Amino acid sequence: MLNFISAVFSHTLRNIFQTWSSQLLTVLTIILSVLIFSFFYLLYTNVLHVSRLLDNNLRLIVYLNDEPGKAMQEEYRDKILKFDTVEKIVFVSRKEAFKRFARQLKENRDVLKDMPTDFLPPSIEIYPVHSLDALTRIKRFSDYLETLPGVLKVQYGREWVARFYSFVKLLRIVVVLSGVLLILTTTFVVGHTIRLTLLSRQRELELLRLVGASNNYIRMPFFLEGALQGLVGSAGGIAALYLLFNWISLRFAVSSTSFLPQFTFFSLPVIVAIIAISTLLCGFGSFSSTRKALRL
Amino acid sequence: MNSANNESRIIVDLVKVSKTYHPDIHAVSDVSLSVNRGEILFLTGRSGAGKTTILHLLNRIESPDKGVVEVAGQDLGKLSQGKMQKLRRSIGVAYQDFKLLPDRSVAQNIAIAMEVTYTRPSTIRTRTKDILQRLGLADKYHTPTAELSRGEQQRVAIARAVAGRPQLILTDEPTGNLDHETTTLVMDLLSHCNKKGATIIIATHDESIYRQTDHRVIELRAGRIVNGNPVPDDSRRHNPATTEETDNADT
Ligand SMILES: Nc1ncnc2c1ncn2[C@@H]1O[C@H](COP(=O)(O)OP(=O)(O)OP(=O)(O)O)[C@@H](O)[C@H]1O
Ligand SMILES: [Mg+2]
Repeated sequence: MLNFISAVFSHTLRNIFQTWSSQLLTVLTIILSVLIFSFFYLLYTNVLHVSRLLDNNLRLIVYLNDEPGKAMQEEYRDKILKFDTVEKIVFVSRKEAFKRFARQLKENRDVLKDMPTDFLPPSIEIYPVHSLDALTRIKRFSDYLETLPGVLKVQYGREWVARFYSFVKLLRIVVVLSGVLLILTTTFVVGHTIRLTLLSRQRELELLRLVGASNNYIRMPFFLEGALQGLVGSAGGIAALYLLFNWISLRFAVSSTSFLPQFTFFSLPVIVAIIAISTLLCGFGSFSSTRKALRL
Repeated sequence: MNSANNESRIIVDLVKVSKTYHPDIHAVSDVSLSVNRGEILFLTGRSGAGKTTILHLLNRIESPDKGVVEVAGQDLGKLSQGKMQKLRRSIGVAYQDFKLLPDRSVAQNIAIAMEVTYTRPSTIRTRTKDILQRLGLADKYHTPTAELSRGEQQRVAIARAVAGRPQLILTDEPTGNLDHETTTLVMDLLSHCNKKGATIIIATHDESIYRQTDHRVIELRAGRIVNGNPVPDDSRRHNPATTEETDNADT
């Protein structure tokens, strides 16, 4: 077993040294596509992160015609929960609304002196669950709430949410596209270079078959070669992204202070996952292209 | 001698084997030939007689159109790819075109046959040095094979064929490019391997290496056996009439 591993490794290393120029090209391609993919993915996760921060201030306010009684409140609660689980539901009575308004006015609360304490409508404040796609659900939620009886108006950051929603949606498409790009480049480019090296090594492969090398013995080095390209390429891509990220956050730190939410880089598990997946992709890409070329 | 016992001793068995190349070159026609374990067998005949083709059939480089080829008790026509690969690891081959990798050193070329059986690198080194010593190539250990003369390349091919200690060694014109002295080196190496248990089949038209032998000599002409005993002559001494080619000279 140990001999198998050492034999396979020495073969792999020899192959790599023999064709280092096309190896370099492959690795650069992988670096670039991993960089593109992880850039958009990083942007996406940060936007989601921002949206989650904003979520905390995000609530639906359902204005009602009449102050709901205890039974009515339960009915509303049931109907809301039937549509979606929510973090919190708060019923705000006319009095409570007045108090809040007064608090908001601070020194100017005198203007309310002559107003009746029940001139504001009662409302229900709904805090959606902090989920990744809370923003995408909020519109449907609002539409639903408007159909409930006794509802005057439903309010949320409509414009803003809608724009943000479409931005997130666009970003998600870009992430998926660049992911597909990543898969295509890794399998095609890696497979292509492996096929080229296979051609240049016809003699050696013929000899290996002559002396009875097993399929795995012949193919393992190619798998390892591809995997190594994937490993180096994706690690390089992530490293490049990290440099870019640092540069950008440095820029932002100078021009604006703490107003923008802090951008964060990938967590370690995500980095490991991206590198591992690229490594496997490249490994199997080259493995399967040897299958065709060797007519196994 | 009973037949069951006989079977287990047989390592190569061709039964009515024919091989035709396109369009209608009958390279091998209806050849039956058995070889015992531990034998040295000479396949002789003029150029184009079918010697190389028979060696190719024994390693399934080519497949017969008719007949059965058995090696080590296994019918090559029915062997799975994996089993064939395993069998090939126990067959050492030195073909006429050497099949050396020109950009690799002599040692690397020889190592390939042993690497596929996962021989330890230290063992590979000592065996390679020993064999090169025997073939008078000790100083070429690191030389790329492209820089060698044809005679030297030929010896490297033979070194590779025997390095993995195979049970069966197939050599095609092993002395084709060699002078008398180097020929002796090669034949000594082959008989050394034979004494250690390997069966050896030598395809050659170099009469000097089989003229004086007491091993079996088979002569082919136009793909047919025209001279020599196609079955192992366990009973050679009892039945000398069937072995016209072999004269029991001393070695
Ligand atoms: N791949 C092939 N395709 C077509 N014909 C072939 C092929 N290989 C061999 N032949 C033909 O088969 C016949 C036997 O060839 P083979 O190589 O077995 O002869 P040989 O006895 O080894 O000759 P030599 O002593 O010159 O090596 C020849 O007529 C040859 O032209
Ligand atoms: Mg020949």
